[in-house]
Amino acid sequence: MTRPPTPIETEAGVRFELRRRLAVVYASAEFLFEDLEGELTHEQREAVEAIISASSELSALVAHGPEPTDPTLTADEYASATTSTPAVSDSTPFAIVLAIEPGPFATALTEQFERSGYDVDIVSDIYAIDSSDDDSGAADTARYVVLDVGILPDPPTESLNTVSERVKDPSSLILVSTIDDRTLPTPFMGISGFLSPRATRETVATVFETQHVDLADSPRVVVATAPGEDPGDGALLERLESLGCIVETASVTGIDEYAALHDIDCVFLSEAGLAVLDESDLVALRTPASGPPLPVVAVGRTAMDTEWVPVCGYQQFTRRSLSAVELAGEIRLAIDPEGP
Amino acid sequence: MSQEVLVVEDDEQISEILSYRLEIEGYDVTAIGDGDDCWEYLESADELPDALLLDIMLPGVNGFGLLRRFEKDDRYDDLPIILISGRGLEDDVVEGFTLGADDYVVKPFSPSEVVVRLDRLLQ
Repeated sequence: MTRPPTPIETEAGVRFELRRRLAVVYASAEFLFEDLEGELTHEQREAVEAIISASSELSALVAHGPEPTDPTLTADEYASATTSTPAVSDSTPFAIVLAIEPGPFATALTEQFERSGYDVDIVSDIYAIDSSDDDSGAADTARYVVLDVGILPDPPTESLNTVSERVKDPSSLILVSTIDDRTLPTPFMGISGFLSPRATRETVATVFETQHVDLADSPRVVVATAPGEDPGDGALLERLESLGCIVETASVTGIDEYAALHDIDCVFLSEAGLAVLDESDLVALRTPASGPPLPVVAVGRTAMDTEWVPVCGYQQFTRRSLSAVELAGEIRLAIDPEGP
Repeated sequence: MSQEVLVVEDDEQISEILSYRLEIEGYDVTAIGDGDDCWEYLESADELPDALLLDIMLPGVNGFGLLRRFEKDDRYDDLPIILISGRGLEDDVVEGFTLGADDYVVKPFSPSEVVVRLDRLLQ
């Protein structure tokens, strides 16, 4: 005889079923919204938008919490499965510092890591990632520092260099990116990574490959700078041209409209351009109404002995924010590409 | 010629919506709702589909079980696979990638997002 489910198991089951049915609601509403079966009236469109918005919010509410390991398991099997700690490769839990804005998303991300056996410490600004001078800083005991590039003070690339000097091993610094897409409380979508302006031709080619931009198609790229800023000594421009790109330069002001108008395939932001970029423009680049988001690469000094520093979470798109589950998965892969 | 996508999803409504959306985009879709049936279909097919959309939770052998079988057979090395996860566990994401999936989406998902991801994989 099996025992009745515990409250946690019941909650897990409800979450699973809600998520499954929400998938139908969301997909059906989106189907109508895209006019695939005929054009909607203004009022119908508003009603469908309300369904999409409400189901998105509900999705965010049920996104976090206990999960069934397998809905077909018996209660005993389920209890056994949920009490085991997911594998971490040694007996001492890894310590992680999450340098991100505190809030529901940070809490959900913390829960994901704690569930996998990590010790998590949240700090809300880069200065709390202490130096190793007095052995008291959070980074001293942490194996990994996960930094939201959205909390970097301006200029971001300079602040990033400051952080990288504060962690013992720069390779343990994992970048994630957040911007507010104005619709969901779990917004992790932003820049694709940081590229050194001195990066070799091969490294720049790798960036295109990771962004799924095919160089054989002679992609159109724009190097966006702060208003009045000189595009630089031209080293990056030359490399881009040598790879077959059609290169343009523009101001970051209204860069989203520029990119749409000129059919741009990838945006390179100068250090000063990144510092003055309007967040809503970045949102527009990364959450297009249709099609994949435009890759946005920040160009600046990288103090981590590498020419290209990718950012976790950037691949998530379109019109749907990255969940804590997805981001935690990407971070785990960045920590250990071979998996548990 | 249309590219063939095999949708393996046990929820009929999700499978129907996804299949219809993919067909509108010009894909030739085959939908299967059971892991064992999926394995049987693939093993008896002369040619593999161009891509596989694979739910993790399935009757019969589940998504991870299928990925483990694919790992043991070179024939599946180049088959692009997008995992569909109904659970909110990042371990699923990690395990899916380590077992050879190329991408993943978590329910509830946007069908147009799946189309974009599929287009990108098949580029």
